[in-house]
Amino acid sequence: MREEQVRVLVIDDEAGLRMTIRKMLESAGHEVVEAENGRLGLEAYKKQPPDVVVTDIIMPQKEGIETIRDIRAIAPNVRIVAISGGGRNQNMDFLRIAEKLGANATLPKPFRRDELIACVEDRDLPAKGEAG
Amino acid sequence: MMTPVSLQRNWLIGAAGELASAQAWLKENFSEATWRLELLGLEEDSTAAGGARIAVRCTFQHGTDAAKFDANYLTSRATAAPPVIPVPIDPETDGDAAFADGARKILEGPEPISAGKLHFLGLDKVRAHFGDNWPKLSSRAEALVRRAIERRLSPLDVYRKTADLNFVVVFGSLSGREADLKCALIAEEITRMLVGDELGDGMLAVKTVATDLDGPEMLGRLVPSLDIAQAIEAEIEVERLQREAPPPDISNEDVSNDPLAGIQFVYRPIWDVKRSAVANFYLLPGKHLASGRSRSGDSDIPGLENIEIRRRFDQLIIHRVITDLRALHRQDRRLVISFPIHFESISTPTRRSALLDGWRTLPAECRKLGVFELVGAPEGVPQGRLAEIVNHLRAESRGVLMRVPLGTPSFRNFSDTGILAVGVELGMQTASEERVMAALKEFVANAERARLAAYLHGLRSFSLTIGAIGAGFSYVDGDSISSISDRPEEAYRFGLEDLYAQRLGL
Repeated sequence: MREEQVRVLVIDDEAGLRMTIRKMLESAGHEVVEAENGRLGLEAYKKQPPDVVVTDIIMPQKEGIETIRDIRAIAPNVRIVAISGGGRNQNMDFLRIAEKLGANATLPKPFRRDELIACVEDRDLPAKGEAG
Repeated sequence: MMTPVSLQRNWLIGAAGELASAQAWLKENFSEATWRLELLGLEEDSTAAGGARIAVRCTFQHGTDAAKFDANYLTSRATAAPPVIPVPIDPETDGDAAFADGARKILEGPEPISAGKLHFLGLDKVRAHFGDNWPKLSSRAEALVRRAIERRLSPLDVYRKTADLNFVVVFGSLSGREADLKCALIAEEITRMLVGDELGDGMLAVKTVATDLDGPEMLGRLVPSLDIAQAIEAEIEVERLQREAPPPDISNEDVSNDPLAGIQFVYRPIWDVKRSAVANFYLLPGKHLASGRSRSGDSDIPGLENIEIRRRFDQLIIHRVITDLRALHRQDRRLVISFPIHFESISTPTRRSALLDGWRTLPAECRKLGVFELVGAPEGVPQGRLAEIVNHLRAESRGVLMRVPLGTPSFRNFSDTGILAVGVELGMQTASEERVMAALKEFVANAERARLAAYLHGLRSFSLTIGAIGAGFSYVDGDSISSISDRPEEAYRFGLEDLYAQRLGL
């Protein structure tokens, strides 16, 4: 369980969501860097490895599960949080596969601030209805 | 061209060499410009060699001493040949004359005969199949065969029986390739009617006669021969020898002037995302160009801008699907085949009939495994007209899909028409993946508003595949999902985990 400030790499193709996640994490005292797809995210990781990676699944250029697999191959111990709206077809399946391939935690969209921070800081997720 | 004639003599020839003999006599006794010998057709006669006699007519130019012919030729032949029939033949009532007139009009036209105008249908193996039962069945079989042939001939075509279950067909209105296809359909239907599907292959002989002979030359070659079938066999031999000649050097020229030459077909498995299965295969036409590149898809192949080429192309597709559905049926494998057909090829009853004649020879259980994908429908087709067309196709298939451009803003016009799903061929999309993914989401949303499922062809990128699934497409296919095959393969379970396992080598 983390309490110190961490550097978080946020990988998501939606600019608006990246901004929202940035605000959530910065309000908790964490540093955020962004990438808009898996290919750029992997490049950013190699350039300056973060403490935590938060990555979407459905993205152009390079989707999230492959990105998780590739990051895990070069950084076995980095904490990875997979997030996904799942689209209209198979929501939880994406996140279950992400977990099998190395994600430490998964978070279906939409999620609350306290849920995101709990995942990033490796704390227990707050119970439903509990204020965060 | 001869001046109008006033003298004609018709008679039957029943012995070998008599036609050549008549021709020789006429040449010796009359100037060649004053007479014309015509083959009218065959009269069945079990007492004659070959089972038939040839009816011939000699037409003399006005003023020629035809009585000399009567006295010196016909009379002398009367003792050696069957009785002369010196009466004019009424083309309206005499089938032989009708065939001869029809064949002459086709074969004496100004255009050279293209390969395929003349076809020989031989079903001797069918007869052999019935063995000792054949005599009891032959008349009924012949009636079925004639009906199958006549159903597919246009008023410009003629046919004639040359021997037991052997027919010659002269097509007046089709190209060689169309005639080939039509004969193949006729032969398939006849075989299915007589012996059933399981013995289909190898029971038929459909031979095409004549490569680049012009009509009068072909007719001239046919006339001196006693037996039309023998003449045709001789021509087939000529054609075979021509085919076996060394091919011309085409290294510096286009492989073929026919845009449809060299068309090949492959199949892509279609992934049913919601059911996590593959049981549907999509027929994909393609062609290797002389440049060494390949083109695939029904819109990328050069030459398809021409409407007649497109219709022939659709005929090729239907024929291939018919063949493969029959094969699957014989193997007791229930796999669905989807295939593209241009909207204009089925948009009118006449065109629809021309295209679906062959389709309807399939057993109903086979037709229910075919899915028509309509491509190239013009914008703004009235909903009522679309429903009418779709309902016609639905009645004879598993269902109908409609392919549209990616940016189509609304599918309201397709609601309640019976269309199963609307879809897109990604093909050579040049927009960025970001823009394509956004467009895919909107496409599915629009389809759902019209209560339609959505399908997607041609996924090449793994990230786009995931994007398409995320967007909500029900059916997807492409290189990133599965490789192509020559024939539809087995049905199998396939889910998201299988896709990732395949991709990541797990």
